[in-house]
Amino acid sequence: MKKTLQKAWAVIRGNTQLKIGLVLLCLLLLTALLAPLLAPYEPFFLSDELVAAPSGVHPLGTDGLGRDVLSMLIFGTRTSLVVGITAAFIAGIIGTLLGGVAGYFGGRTDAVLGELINIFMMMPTFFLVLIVVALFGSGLFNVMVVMGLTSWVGNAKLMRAQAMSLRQRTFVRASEAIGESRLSILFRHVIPNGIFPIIANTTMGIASAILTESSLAFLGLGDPNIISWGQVIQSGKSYLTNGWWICLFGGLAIIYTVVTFYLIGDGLNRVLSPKLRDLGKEGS
Amino acid sequence: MVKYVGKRTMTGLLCIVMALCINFIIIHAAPGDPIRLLAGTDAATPEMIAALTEKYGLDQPVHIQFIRYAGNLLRGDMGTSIYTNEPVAKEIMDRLGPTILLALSASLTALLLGTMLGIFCARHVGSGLDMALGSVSYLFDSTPSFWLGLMLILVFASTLHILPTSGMVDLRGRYTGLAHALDVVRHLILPGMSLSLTLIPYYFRIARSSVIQVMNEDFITTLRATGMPEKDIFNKYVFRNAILPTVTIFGIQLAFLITGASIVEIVFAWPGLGSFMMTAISRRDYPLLMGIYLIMSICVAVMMIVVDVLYSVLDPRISHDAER
Repeated sequence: MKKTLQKAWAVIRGNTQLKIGLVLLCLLLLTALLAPLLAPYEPFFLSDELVAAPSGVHPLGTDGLGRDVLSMLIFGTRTSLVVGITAAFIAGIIGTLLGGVAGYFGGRTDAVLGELINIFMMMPTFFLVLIVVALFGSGLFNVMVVMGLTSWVGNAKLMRAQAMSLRQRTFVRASEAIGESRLSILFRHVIPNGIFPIIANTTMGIASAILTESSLAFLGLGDPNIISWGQVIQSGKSYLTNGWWICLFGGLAIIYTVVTFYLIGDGLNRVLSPKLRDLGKEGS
Repeated sequence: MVKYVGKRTMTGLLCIVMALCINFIIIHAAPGDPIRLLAGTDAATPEMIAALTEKYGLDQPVHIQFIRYAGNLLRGDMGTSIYTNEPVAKEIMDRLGPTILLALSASLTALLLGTMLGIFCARHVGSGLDMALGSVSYLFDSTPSFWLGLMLILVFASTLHILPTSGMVDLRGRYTGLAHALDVVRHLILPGMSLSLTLIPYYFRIARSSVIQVMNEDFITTLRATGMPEKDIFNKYVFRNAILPTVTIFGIQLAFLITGASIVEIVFAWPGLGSFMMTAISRRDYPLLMGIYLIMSICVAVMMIVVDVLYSVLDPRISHDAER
């Protein structure tokens, strides 16, 4: 275990993107955890200064209702992270299972599931999410689940390819020969050995889920009871000329977070192919 | 080849049918009653509601409604909008043009600029400019297009007053001919920019990595060994091979941009399908919603098939008949 950690550390140190990404991520997580301590005001506190420019009292100004922009952005970190991670996680699990089953079982199963994957590849999912959220209500839970259910296709494609190549490998064949059940092989050998590209892709998925969530919130389809960055931008839209700070900082917060996950995902992608695969074997 | 086209077309058709079903189920399972919305909130008498429900066939069981809808579709009838009473097909066709204009011009700009920058960086790998452009591409990739749109409005429209903030034409101008076209272009610049700036990183990265990849292939090394000038090698051999992935990405991007442009359309009040969709949602105009989603699905499916086929024509190495 210790050796695995040491190796992981070495890998992280060797990759600039991963290093920067993880540092940025730590800052984000701290902000989310310590939000009540860091934020100068309650996010819903209405002060008397409406659309006040950034100053000592309100470092990033206030919005049209007199809420402190900095405090809203700090609390918004929680929403973005929770939504992004949950949605990407759901998509990761669905994709891994469907892709793994299709690729490993092959034959007719693969014909059906493969076709399903192809069909979903062609679907304009943003509109689907938009319709569902608009018609069924925009609770945070709804938003996360719908995004997860519509964004698994990339993962499924990757996992399917992985499973197809692992199926041919000796250790999988050997397990088949000694009579291990196919499901058990799938979960004990195929998925653990083929999961790494999906991990990298899921990290990227967090980034796009955060972007989608902010788009929904910007369209007024976010959860009204929860502070989110997209919503901050939406509330600033009407004050674009006399309150530019509301929109500007909201967008910067989104960019910061999305860049973080892109960096980590990209770094993982570069690192995972040869090195971490060995690391994964030792860990299992 | 024919077999492959047939197979892809089948997938496309299945996709459209599935989109139709999902669409139908979602819309009918959704809470909220369009008839009440249509009849007005308080004043509606039960008789009025019954009459309206019957008129739109909403009193029938769901499966009958579906069969009726599918049957009408096959005859090219997409129903009438509950709200405006116009045929859905006509309403959508009016909006499709602006959306395609916006999506196409944004993608073409992104394709040209992104590929050019990508090729430039691939030929100067590791240089300062390469690093800088690489980092900038991360930033633009992470920028929400709607926010970029707002920032562009703030700078170019509200502060500098050189470009219009919204719409597709100047309503007071009433231009015709060339002046009209120029007016549309002026309105197109900002929404087009917010879309293409977020797309450029895509083309940039793909062009860059595929040029690098081709440059490292054996046949290029051989050509170098023959003493062929680097410029000729690039123009004759590298470029043609490296441009292929970009073509595919272009098609897929464009297909999804027809839907993806919607949020930018809303920011700029661009009279396309995306902003129309939001109106349809808020009015719970079921036939219209279903129509828009159907058209979007068809656009995406058709584009994807065209791209796949085009790709296999352009690159003879890809043989789809041998697949699987």
